[in-house]
This record gives sequence, structure tokens and C-alpha cells, in this order.
Amino acid sequence: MKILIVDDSKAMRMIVMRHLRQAGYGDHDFVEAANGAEALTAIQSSAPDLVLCDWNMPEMSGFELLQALRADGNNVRFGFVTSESSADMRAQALEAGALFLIAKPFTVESFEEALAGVGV
Amino acid sequence: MTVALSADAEPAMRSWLRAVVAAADELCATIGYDAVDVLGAVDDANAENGASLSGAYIALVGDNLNLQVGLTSSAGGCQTLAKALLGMEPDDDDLPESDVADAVGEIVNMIGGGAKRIMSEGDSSLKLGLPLFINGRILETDHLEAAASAVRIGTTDARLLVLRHRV
Repeated sequence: MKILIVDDSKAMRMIVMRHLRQAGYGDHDFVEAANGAEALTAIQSSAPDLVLCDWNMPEMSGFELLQALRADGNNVRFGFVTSESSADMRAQALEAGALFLIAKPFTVESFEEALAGVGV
Repeated sequence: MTVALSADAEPAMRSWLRAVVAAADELCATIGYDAVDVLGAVDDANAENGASLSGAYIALVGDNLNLQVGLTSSAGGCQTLAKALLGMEPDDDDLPESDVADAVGEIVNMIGGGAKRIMSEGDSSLKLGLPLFINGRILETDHLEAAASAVRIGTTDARLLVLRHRV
């Protein structure tokens, strides 16, 4: 399985990958993108099975990316990994088609629960 | 030059500072530390000896609020915090400045997000910006007020700041 990790922070992309490995997903392929626009290109070219995406990013936010994907008929499995986790944002994310929202700071268990919950 | 006084900070600013400290506390588990050790409020958002402090700031802006949340430390302290976030040991080779800026910015991003969650349920107008890493001193203006706490995160002495423009 191919997992696209989208975050404008290189450090955070590394941390997400480390947590995924510790959660037992180390055998999967990881692809990285630094903002929503880069992710859109990566999704079109590499067709990931799952997108783990930050919310606030320059150029194109994670929410804008999700809206663009769904408007284009792309139903790739999509979850947010974000420092913002208010009830409003969770509701907004789910309504737009996200499967889950993992709040930063997170734990290995956060990934285990969220990914198992969507059958990954 | 002194930028505001924590002791004089109004209740709303003190509440925000408490939320920022609580959010930093939540972050500690992720970077392998115990809870944040609060050393006390400080009278000046800048270092007492006039030294420049490195750190990152992130904006929290809403219909009724315009804040900057910050974390500052020495250059060595920022290195240590960045290494901790990346799962490195303090004695590992130093990270390039750009990686320190990225990592400390992400720490502040998480602290800002946590403080927003603690303080803003029901205020959907509040938006979190993107972090900015700065090396220098905060300069006083007539409209700037600050609340600041000296803290120890792991072995690193740092300051957690809330800055606001009076309107």
C-alpha cells in the first residue's frame, strides 16, 4: 500500500513516518508532499491508497486539497493529521469526506486506532 | 527595553498563557519529556541580559482576537528541542539551522493548536496561522502587551509567550 504524507514541515513528515513504522505500517511505501498543490500532483501521478494530510499549509491547505479531490471525483482514503482539533473542524473534515482527524501531538496509538478504524 | 509585564497582564492574557503552558505540557509526551516545569512568570518577554533569543511564533486571529504565541530559547536550546522532536539525542550532531527552524516552528504550531482548542471551543472565527522562526529581540510599541512564563522543557530553559496588540 502507498501512503502519501502531506505536511509543510519536513520534521513533521519524518515524525509521522516514524509513528507509522512503530504502528506496524513500516512495510508500506511512503510518498511525501510539502503542501496541497504538491500533493494534488503526487496523487494524480502516483495514485496513493491513503493520504495523511496537515490542515494549515502554504499554497493549498489540506482542506482545499480534500475539496479539490472530491470535486474531481477522486475518493482516495483521506485523513487529517493536524494541530487543530476543535469539534467544528472535525465536523467540517468529516463532512468534506475525510475519514478521520488525528490531532497533534499524537501517539503511535493514535495512528493504530485511526487506520484500523478505516480498514487500513 | 521591556515588553509588558506578566504580573500586570490582564486576566484574558493570563488565561491564554495558562492554555499555552498546558498545550506545551501535552506536547512533552510526544518529544519524550515529562511535564513542562514552570519556573515562573517573567517581567520581560526578552532575555534579561539583552541577548537575542531564537524562537518561533504563530498567529491566532479571530473576529475579536489577534495574538501571537511564541516559544523562545537560546540557539543551543532550540537545537535540543528540535532534536527531541525528531527523536534524536542531545549529543547527536547539530541540525542545520533550517531544520531547527522547521522543527521549532512545528513545536509552536502544536502549542498554538492546543491552546486554541483549550480556549476557543465555540469561537469558530479563530484561525491558526503558519509558524515563523525568528532570531532577535521583541521591540516595544505602545500597543503591544505580553504575558510570559519561564519554563524548562526537558533540560532546556525556554520562554512561552503570548503577545497581543491592544485595540
